[in-house]
Amino acid sequence: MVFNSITFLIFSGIFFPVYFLLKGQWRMWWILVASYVFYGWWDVRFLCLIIISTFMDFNFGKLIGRTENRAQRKTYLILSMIMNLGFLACFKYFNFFIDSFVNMMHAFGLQPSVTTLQIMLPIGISFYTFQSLSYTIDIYRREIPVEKNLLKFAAFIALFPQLVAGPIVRARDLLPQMNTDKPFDWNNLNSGLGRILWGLFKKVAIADSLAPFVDQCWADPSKFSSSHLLIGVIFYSFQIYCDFSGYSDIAIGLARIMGYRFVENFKTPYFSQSFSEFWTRWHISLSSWLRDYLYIPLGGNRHGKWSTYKNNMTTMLLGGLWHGANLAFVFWGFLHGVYLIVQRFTTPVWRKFVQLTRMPAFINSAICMLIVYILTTVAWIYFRSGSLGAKSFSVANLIIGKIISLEDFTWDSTFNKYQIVKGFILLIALLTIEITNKYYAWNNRQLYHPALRITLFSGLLWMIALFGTFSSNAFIYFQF
Amino acid sequence: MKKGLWVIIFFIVLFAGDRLIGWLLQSQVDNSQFRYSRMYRNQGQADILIVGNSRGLNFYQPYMEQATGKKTFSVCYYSMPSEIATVVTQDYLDLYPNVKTVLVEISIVEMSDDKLLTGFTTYMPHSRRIDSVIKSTSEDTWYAAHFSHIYRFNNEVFQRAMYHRNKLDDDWYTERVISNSLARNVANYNVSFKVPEKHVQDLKNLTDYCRKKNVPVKLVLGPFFPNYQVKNLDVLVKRVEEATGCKVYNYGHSIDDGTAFSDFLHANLKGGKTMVDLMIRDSLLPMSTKISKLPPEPEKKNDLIN
Repeated sequence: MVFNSITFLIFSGIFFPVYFLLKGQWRMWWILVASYVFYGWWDVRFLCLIIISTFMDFNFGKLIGRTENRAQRKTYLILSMIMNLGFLACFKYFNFFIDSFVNMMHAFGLQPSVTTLQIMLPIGISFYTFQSLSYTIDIYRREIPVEKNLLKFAAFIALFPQLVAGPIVRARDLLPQMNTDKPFDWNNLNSGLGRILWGLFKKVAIADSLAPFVDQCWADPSKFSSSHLLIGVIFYSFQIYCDFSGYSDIAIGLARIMGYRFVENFKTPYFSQSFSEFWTRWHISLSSWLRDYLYIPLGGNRHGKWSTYKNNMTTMLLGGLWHGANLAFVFWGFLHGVYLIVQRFTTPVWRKFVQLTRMPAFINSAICMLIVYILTTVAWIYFRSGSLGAKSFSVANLIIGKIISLEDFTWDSTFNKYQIVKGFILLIALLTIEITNKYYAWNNRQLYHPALRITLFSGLLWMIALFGTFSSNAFIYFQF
Repeated sequence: MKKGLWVIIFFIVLFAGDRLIGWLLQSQVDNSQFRYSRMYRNQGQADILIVGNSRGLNFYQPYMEQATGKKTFSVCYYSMPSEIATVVTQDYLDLYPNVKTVLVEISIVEMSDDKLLTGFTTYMPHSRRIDSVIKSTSEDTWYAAHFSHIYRFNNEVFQRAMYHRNKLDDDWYTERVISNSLARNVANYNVSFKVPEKHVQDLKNLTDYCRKKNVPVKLVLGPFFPNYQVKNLDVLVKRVEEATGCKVYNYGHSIDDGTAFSDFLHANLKGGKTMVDLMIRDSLLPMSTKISKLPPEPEKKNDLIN
């Protein structure tokens, strides 16, 4: 079930009234049942995995919390990690590792006969695995108490707004909120609806409108001119942003109506002036997860510069692999690792240059933003090609090569000008709203001004009616 | 109580705004110089009606008018759905019974794009036929377009109408020449034509209606880039001839000059003029009395490939 569908509208129409009518355990049951229905809508078989994962981690949490013996605690944590990462390895990476092994053998002139299992990837497995994993790790670190109520824990893992594509909500943030029944609140409703409409606009009107143009570019880049491909690449950078942040907005909005606060997942990432800043604004729940459970345990920046570079690269490579079982995703992570490392050298030099030339602050900011945007977009080319299997690198390289060659770089050589014009109109609307939102905080302001609320809500709905694509396109991040 | 009042006001504003914006956009479309807007407001009288998809746009109107001395009107559109082409032609013949010839580019049978069909919601208020085609082919869209008037303009056709708000679209054509790399690698590309029976029947309905109105109809297949492989072309031509009972004038491989194309499927300005000359030579189109001799043979060269 996707958020941008009539089915989900009906689902919400039933879920929310009942949710506010029920109290205590009954409400937890309702969340759990509704979330399982939401998830099982794709494939009922997927539910087995999430139920096993929930049950096992709940018990591992109890076992870790019950004993003071350090070795035992560690053993239970390792078992929990083996189970969670084992599911991921089995369902997401098995074919990738086998294929990589076969390719390596081919490189040595060997022809091993290996049959790869055709395993279906359960939707959102990477999200709920990380969510569940953080629970046992936090208990091991004694940062959170053990949850004694299995029903509440199961509802926390399965909570439908964030289940399939995040934000990755950690136990320490959400479980305490589930201790009390949240009453219906008009402010929560209005604030939640504002976020949902904004998320729908980003997804249905922007991301889905850019998608056909982007898909065409990646389907056969050799057919298109450099100008066409450049526009396709720019469109993709915004398609993925609007698709993913749109989902997060809807998830945050739905949770807010329920009375819960989720962590923010995006903060206008393309306005970042450095790559380290970019990673505090893009997919924040994942980057902070990787920081807290991978980068810092590896040593972070505490053991000298070479160790810091190594930790940066390891974190980004695994971040890339988290997205998908393809070397193109790993390469995307590698590029970001390189950006973060190179930035450590270039930043002091650039600062000196800015001082020497007395460059005005706004020009400095604009140049930094542009550089970060361009390099991030180059990395997106490999990321987008990640879903193309064996062709991924050749397609990405072809696109980059053609753009750099500037062959036939004219407006005339672009196809589907209608989509291009519509795309840029929507991007201007997006940037205008995001920039003004920094100063006016529209969604907070509308809470105290009903007339503004009516204007904003109606305006967004009219924009969705005028620009929306209503073919129920799934969100890009479902595949991760 | 107060909260409930705001909710009611919200729905009233939402509905009233939808109707008001819908009306404003509709009035812009109605006053546009775009072909369908002109046609439905009775400013599209012509001697030759051109029907087709983007390949139909190959028949370069200004040159055709100069060479034939006749006034032309085109209802061609990129990836024109055959159902819409048929009903728009029927509407045209009802509105302008004095048209002398209907010229149809037949790849409309193969290349129509059903997704674009819903784009014609913009002209639904002007044509009961368009309304019923949309209702029968995409009921959801039809209901959505009646529920929200703004939604009627959520399409490419509306954007074109706005682009041509104050600008005639008679010279809608590309002067671009196909890129060298594509032309060189023509052997690596091909297209296989499908012949959907539904689209063939649409074309049959179109030709039948022309006959009913006593308007001569000419079926033409426009040119393809030299050496570009089009599979099933013969099947398409044969099926159309069988269904309509009309001869198809096949110009698929009539132009050998690669510079006369903007891509493998579309002639450019140069190719469009050549095409018009060829049709005059074959007496498909009349020759202007102001021109004393037949146009010359098209050039037999292929600079881009050689």
